[in-house]
Amino acid sequence: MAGAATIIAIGNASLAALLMATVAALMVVVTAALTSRRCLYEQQQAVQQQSARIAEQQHPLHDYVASVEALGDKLVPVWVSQIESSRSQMESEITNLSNRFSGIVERLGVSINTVSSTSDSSGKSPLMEMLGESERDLTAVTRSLRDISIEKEKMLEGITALLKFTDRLKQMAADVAGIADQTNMLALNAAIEAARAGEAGRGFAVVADEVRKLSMMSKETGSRITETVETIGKAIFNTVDAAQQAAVKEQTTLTGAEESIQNVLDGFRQSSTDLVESSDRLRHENEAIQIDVTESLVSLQFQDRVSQMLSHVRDNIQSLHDEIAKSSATSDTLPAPLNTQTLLANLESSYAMEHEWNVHTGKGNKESAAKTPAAEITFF
Amino acid sequence: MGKTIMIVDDSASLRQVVAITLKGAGYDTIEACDGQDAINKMTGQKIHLIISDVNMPNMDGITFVKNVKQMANYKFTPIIMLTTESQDSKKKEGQAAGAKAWVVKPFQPQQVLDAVSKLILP
Repeated sequence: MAGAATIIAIGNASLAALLMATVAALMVVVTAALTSRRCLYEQQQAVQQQSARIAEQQHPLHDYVASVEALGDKLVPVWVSQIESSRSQMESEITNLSNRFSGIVERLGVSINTVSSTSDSSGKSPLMEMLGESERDLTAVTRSLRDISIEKEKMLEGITALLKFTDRLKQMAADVAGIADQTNMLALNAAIEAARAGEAGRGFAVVADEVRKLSMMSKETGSRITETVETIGKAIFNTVDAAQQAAVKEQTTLTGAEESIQNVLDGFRQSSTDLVESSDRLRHENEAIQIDVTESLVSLQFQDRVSQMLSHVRDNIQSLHDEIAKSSATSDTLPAPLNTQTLLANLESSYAMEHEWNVHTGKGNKESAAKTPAAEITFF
Repeated sequence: MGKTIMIVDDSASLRQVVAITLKGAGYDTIEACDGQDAINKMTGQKIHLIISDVNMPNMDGITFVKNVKQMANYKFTPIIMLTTESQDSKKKEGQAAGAKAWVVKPFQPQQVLDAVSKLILP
């Protein structure tokens, strides 16, 4: 019993110790557990805080991604539209401008041809040729009038010469009258002689009387011839006098006409010369303007070059829009980085002009960019 | 009657400049705004020379040249490429297609006239 009691006592003591140990162990465990739980809690708190901080940090990142997407969706199309609008406006206006320039060049060409038809630098203009022809024709007319006047003078000289014949005719008429007087005297003597002869001279007396009558008639005829010749002489004199006065007037008129014609021709020549000179100046000015406008037209080629450069940039900006859309984040994935190298490569491959390469690579400075390159021709 | 030259370019102002240059030298011109338009306008009439751009909508210049070389009436018509393209690779494409000369814009009228007078059909 004692032993049992001892055993029990020992057992109790052991149990107690065990219990104590167990309790102690449990307390350690509980304490550890409590400590662990607190740590876990603290760790959870820390994780949550960290998550919150990350979430806070991710918020601007999401905003940034959204802003880039908005840039692609909203801003890039506006850029593309604005560039295309500028390009098409420039193309439209330059086309209008070139149309107007073309019209000016063509109208100047017509104007130059028109001016050339009235004058040319060789002086053989139709106007000057017409002046020369007019001068020749009018000179021929005045020469003809002058020739006619000379012929008239010769005719007048002939008529004046007739006056000398009238004097001779008058003398001849006077001679006839003298002969008639002598005949009359002879007839009278014959009549006297016939009367003396008596009966035998009666027939002769008749003849003598008839001769006397004829002599009287001859005398009267001589008188009429004298009167008629005097009348003719006066008529010739009056005619010659009138013709001479007319000739003087004609000479005066002809000289005046020649002077007037010469004055008109001189005035016309001066006007024509002035007109030809003005036309020459006008033609030269027109030609100079035509050259200037044509060169301006040539300068408008810049539009084609600029239009292509803008098209390349526009297309590349459009590619940026596509690239942004392609790399956008989904609910499951993060946004992919934008492929700038591809965009640059696409832009480079679109270049047509050396100048674009130079600008792209930074080789082209402002001076070379402003300078229009010289045309280059390659024959195959 | 003057010789006829066809101008193919999508830029109306460029066509104007080329047309003024050629008309001033006594040539007649036909204008087309791209390769397809040009082919539509090549209806059998005599064309002594063609001046064509390279970069055009609908049908580009290189394809246009290849098509012209297949057309019985026009396969011997000389073609000058007038373009902003200055790369050798492009020039070789043009040469392979059958072009006779390559002029890089912007051009000077006298240079184009010299090239035209050198290549135009009699």
